[in-house]
Amino acid sequence: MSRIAVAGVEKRFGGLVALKDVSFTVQAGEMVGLIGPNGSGKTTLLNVMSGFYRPELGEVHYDGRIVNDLEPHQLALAGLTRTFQVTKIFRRLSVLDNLLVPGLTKWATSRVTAVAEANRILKALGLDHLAGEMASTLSGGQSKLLEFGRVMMLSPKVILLDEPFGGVHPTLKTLMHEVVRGWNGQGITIVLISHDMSSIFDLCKRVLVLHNGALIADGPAQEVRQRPRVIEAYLGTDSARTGG
Amino acid sequence: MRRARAPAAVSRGKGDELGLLAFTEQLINGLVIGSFYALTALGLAIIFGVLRIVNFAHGELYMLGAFSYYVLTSVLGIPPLLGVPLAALLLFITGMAIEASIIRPIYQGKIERVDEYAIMITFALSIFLQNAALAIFGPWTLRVDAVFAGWVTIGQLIISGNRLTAAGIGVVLIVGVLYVLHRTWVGKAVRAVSQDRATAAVVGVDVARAGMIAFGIGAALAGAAGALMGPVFLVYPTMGLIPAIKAYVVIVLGGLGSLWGAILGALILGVVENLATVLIPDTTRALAYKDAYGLGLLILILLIRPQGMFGERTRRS
Amino acid sequence: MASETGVRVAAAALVLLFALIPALGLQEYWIYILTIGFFYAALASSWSLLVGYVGRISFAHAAMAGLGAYTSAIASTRLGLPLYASIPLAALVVGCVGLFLGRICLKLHGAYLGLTTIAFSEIFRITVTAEHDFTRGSLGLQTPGFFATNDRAQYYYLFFIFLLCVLGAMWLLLRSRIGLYFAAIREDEDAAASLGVHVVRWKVAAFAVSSMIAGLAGAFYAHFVQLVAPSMMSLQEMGLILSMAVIGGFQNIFFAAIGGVFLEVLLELMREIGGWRMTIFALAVIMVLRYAPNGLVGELIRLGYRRARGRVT
Repeated sequence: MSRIAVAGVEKRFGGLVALKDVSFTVQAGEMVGLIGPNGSGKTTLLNVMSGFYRPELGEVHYDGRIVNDLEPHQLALAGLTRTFQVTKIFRRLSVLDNLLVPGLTKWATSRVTAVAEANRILKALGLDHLAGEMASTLSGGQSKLLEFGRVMMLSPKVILLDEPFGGVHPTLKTLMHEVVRGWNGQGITIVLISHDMSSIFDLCKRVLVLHNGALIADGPAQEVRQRPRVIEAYLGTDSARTGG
Repeated sequence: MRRARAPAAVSRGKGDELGLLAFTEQLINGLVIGSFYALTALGLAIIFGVLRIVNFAHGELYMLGAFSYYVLTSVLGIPPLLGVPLAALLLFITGMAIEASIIRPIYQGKIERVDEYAIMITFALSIFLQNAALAIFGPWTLRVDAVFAGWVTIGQLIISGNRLTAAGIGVVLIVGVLYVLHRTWVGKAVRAVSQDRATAAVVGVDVARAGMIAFGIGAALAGAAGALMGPVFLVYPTMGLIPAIKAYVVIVLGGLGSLWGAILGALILGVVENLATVLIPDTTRALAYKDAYGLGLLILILLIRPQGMFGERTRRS
Repeated sequence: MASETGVRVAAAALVLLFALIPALGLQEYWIYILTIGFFYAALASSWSLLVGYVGRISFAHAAMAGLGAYTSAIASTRLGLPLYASIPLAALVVGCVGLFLGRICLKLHGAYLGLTTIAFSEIFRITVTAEHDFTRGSLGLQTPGFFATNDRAQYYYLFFIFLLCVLGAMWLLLRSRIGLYFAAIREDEDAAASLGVHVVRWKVAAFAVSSMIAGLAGAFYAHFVQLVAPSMMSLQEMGLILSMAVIGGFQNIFFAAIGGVFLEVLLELMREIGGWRMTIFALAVIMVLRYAPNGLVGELIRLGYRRARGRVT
């Protein structure tokens, strides 16, 4: 049984077809890259998978169940989590409180446990010295790390990452790679959207390519990057003909 | 207990002719009132379009227009026909002052919680203006000189000449503003800012000034509506509340940001309101609830189709 | 931490002061005014719960108080219910209305929500005025009082304890994880949802709780002043509540409550200038929003901290 399965998903906004007949499965513990030129529908697909959009056609399966009609918070509580392309940290809450929000969404978790876990995660991410600071004081890179910390609090089975490395400087990127690898090492399924090709090929063995809302490639990373259709999507028809 | 039927404002059943007459009368009444609503709503729409805020003090700008007209005509003795444009001019300046002092800081990064600020500060402004008027002029209703007194007869219909003239002036103003917005450079600059503030700034539009002018125009339109409606409905400090709510209904109905939607919506509301009073049997109740129809309509639209007839829908996440 | 104990001491002193006031020989009239101040404090603080903590601005708050007042009034006069039944009934009814309002206003925020709540507020007021068979319209409805006598001190303590209970309940709520959910919703709904917060449930709950407290306060008020009129539900009243919360500090239920008492006292002190009072208050609100958005109480505390820190170092 796959962890996530997307079957025949179509998503429309008025007359615009953002996703057309998208189908793929992701096995538990896989780390899959999702790439494609701007406007190809990557974030839309993520939004469909995380419950923010309802697809017009098709289904999203999670652990064997169809989850089309579930709300984002239900999916999150079931272990399907995500981050955002433009960070959505809780600016007027402290760094610690940012982690306590997801930490306390399961009623069974006591505050003491949640605080301990939050501090542990902050330490692992190198943010523990900022625990009491207002989240708005964080730098861009630190905000991204905070978003990482937040999803970790949910003990996720799946993490969908939307452009986590955008505008992040190299040292921090290395740290983030380690964190993501660490997650995958624990068996967490990862879907990574990124324009940062080096990160994609560094982290992912398998890559999905979207173009104009359609899945045009699904295969091993190194092989997919050579396919003419993929090159064409990114660089235009001429480049494909001349071989990149 | 069966309540005795209140005497109907319009007799019915005395032949279709009389019914049709009453209907047409209310229809024209509705269109006339609708044109006033359009004037107010247009101002609100322009302010929203350019500054992206709902001006909760719009009704008070309308009221200030009426009071300015009162002071100009009844106190200073200026002829009514001059009083209207002068009142509009006064409100134009007032509007610009308001924008420069309390709205502009939003765009200068001086405000922390922008959404809450915009709503609360215009609401506070409305309370301020209402009470200032109450304090200065007292709670009594004032009569003001009409621009054109007397009645106009069209066939079997008798319509107040005052209302017709006022409606006529209103239409002229609306056309004028639309002309300015679409044909003059200033107007185009203002429209550019309403579409994309950042880009407008990049191409050299003074966005701060455009915002100020937009608020000024919006206030002037509301003020003109107040000045025109003063003779029709009397002038008093809380007169702005109901027209403001109507204006909100109209622009939500027509679609926030759509000028034509505002105009169309205004006419529809005017007609609906006036026809409702004819069509509902218990007249006293119908009249008591008259203002509630617009409110009900507002809620309905906001819930069902918040983008109105012509507005754009904002996407989620 | 020194500042926390300082706040606790100050709060305790304040509570003690208010508790002792009637015994200090204050004029009956001022005891009456302070009682009304407690009423407004309950309204201002419950409004700030919605605005400051959940980030939703409702202009229907005065109407909710009025609905509570009228419900209890009608229940006690026409249905003959005793007060210990009519008042909880009022709270229940208004709580349900708040639930309903919160539910249908879910997708609305910002100005749209403001407009909708204004519309509801006015519809309620118009309905109450129009249905004068039930409510005696603008003439106002007379209601039985709480106590057999009109002992001002009794009402004072009644409202004081009511206010403390209301503040206590809200404080406990806000300290709990629900308070954290509220704040998350205020900051970013989508992020909150993506982290497991049931946004719909808690937004509606906030509306219901905030409204219910207003309705409860209104019900108490009805049996205090013993006359309810539609003017209680006007937007002018809403403006007063907003002024109190903003000037006190709408980010904090205690600051808002202080704002409520403070402005009511001020309103009475400025009685002579009549109509200019609200004008000045509204102007003060504009100034505070622009230059001291944390409210005056917040600013004073900030200044106090700065001075204290300056002296220590």
